[in-house]
Amino acid sequence: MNAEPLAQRKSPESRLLIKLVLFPCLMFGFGFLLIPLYDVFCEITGLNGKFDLSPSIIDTQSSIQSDTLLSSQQGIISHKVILQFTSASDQQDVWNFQPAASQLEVMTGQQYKTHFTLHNPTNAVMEFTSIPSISPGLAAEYLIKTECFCFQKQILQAGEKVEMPVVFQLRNDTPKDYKKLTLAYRIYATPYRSTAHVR
Amino acid sequence: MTTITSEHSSAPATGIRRWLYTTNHKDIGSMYLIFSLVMLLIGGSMALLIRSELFQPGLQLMQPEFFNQMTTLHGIIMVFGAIMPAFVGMANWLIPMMVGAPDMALPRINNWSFWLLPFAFGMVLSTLFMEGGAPNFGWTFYAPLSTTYAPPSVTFFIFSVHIMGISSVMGAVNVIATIMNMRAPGMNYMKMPMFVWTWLITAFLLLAVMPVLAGVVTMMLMDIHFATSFFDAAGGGDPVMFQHIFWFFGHPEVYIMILPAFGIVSHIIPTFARKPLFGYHSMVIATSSIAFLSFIVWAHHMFTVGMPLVGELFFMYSTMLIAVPTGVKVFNWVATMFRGSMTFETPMLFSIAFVVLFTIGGLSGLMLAIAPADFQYHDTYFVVAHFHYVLVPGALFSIIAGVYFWIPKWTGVMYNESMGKFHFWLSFIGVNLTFFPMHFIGLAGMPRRIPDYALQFADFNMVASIGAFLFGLSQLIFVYNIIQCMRQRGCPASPQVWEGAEGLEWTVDSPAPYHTFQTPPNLDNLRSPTGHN
Repeated sequence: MNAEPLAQRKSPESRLLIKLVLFPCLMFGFGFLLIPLYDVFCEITGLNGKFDLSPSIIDTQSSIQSDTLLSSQQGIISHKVILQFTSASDQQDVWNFQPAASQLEVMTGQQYKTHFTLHNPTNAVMEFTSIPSISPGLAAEYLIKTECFCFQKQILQAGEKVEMPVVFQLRNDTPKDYKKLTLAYRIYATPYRSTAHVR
Repeated sequence: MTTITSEHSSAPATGIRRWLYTTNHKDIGSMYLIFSLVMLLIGGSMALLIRSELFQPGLQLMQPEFFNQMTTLHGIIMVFGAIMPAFVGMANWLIPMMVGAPDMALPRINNWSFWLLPFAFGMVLSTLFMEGGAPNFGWTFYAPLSTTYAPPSVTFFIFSVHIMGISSVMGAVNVIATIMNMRAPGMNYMKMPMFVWTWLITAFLLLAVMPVLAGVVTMMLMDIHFATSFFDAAGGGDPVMFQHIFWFFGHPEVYIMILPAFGIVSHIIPTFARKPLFGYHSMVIATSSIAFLSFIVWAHHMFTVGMPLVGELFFMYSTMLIAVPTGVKVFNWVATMFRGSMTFETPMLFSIAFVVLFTIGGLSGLMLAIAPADFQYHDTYFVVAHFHYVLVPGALFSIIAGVYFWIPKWTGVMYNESMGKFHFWLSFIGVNLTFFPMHFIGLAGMPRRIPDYALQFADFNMVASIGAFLFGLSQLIFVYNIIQCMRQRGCPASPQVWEGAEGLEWTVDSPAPYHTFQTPPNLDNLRSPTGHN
């Protein structure tokens, strides 16, 4: 009963005005929407070689089984890929962040373990965030990491030196075009804020 | 003599209150235009400081930090303080008169959107005196330069961008509401003057992208003060995303700065060629196409960030596509002049220079659009030459042409024609002397935004600096001409002003009375812009 007269009371001019005010508000929101859209865009195009920063929870045994199943069905057999590791940091010479091996020859479908070393020579407790990236970017979906120091922040005591493990496997359906992949880590150091994290 | 005062008093208030409280579109238009002239002179002085430093290689006058502050403020002030308010000022003055409306649709908002600007730019300029100096990250304020490594004054910069954005959005809402609701009876969309059309489209662009700019500076603010990581890779953000969001605003923004210019030139050339505008409908369609395309080409500003090949190709081809509607416009202007009875008064001289020099800027834009070649041109003086060719002899020349064209209507006094012509020739020579050599030093590899450069670029830089001073100082003639008109020094202008002028604004007296078209005009005797009827 109320709806009709209310709608009629609004002149076309004020309805236009409402639209004109609403539209910029929506566009303001759209600016923020661009961020998730950008992530989707990166995933599709392989931009940045971004991948999921959470451990793959699939049980290795069953995943291998399903992969074997997949390969037997489609006739894909395990093949060799060279995986290179690079490391970078905002202060490379200070943190001495290095991969244990600069490259590994890996077979798809097999699990491997390697590690990176990191040294905190300063007198302060430091906190490290590691951002991984894979190149070529589109290969990101084929790398499964079951354990990685990049999943959470690392806290290093003054003078501490650590070996940080990465456990990974390449999916069996990794295309054969990918003969050489590069897994790059960049670490960002910030002074440890004791209130923020309790270990 | 007795006057009848009604609730709607018709005479302007006196003194400063007239300007503070005014809701009259002509007063607000004048304030916008004067404000943008002041900003043009401030931004221009900064450009001259930049060119003085670049007169010779080595550091002579200033430190690199200050140089960076100058390039940043020069860009921000020219884009948001000079070009955009000048067009809004013209929209205020002309759109109601061109569509036969008594005023803008939302006069109080109109007042507010103007009075925000002095505060916004007062704040921008005040950063020069703050500890850590003014913003120094370039007018494109790429993160993390503008977040992690920014001077403390960046917060003031962000806030003033917010205010400018609110002002622009309110101005755009006003323009759309005026055009859609307040046209005189009988003026349908396809009878609207081109300036009104281009501004309608520009206003929609403003509504669409200014909020995105507000969004991106808000994200910067949150990154700086609230520990978010929109653009910080350490927290999972991405600095490249800043560039995507910025240029999603930024590319439509460059059309915001050129579409009204197209409108102005589409009035002046027919007037002095004494022929109706050639291809009115195609002009409207071309303007709309340019506006649409502007939303899907943004990444051509960032070919070198590492995009997938498909992305490079998409943005390359869509960018080149813009040359088609722009070419339609250029050919239409040329066809309007073709076999016309042309005379070369100052507005026409500036308009013809606009057509020629804007085309040069457009062609260098096409060169930059070629993704593989752009890797050579990126961030060199070639880019500087390109966008100055479209913004100075493009947007700015059209504004100057428009001011000469309509100032008799605004003030009731003809400007000094010989000084106008003198201003034109000095500006024309100055602008080319300044920006043409930049093409060469850019192709040779001189990077932009540096206070010092390699010796082989010295000669062309010296030429450019001399040209810049010639151009900059010749604007004082323009200022003198404007002040003389405002002081009513000169021959009184007739209502028609120009022999070939067409349109409703030329049917009212010169100077235009404080209130015009309080009753809607009769359009029966008016020739429509298409030349029929």
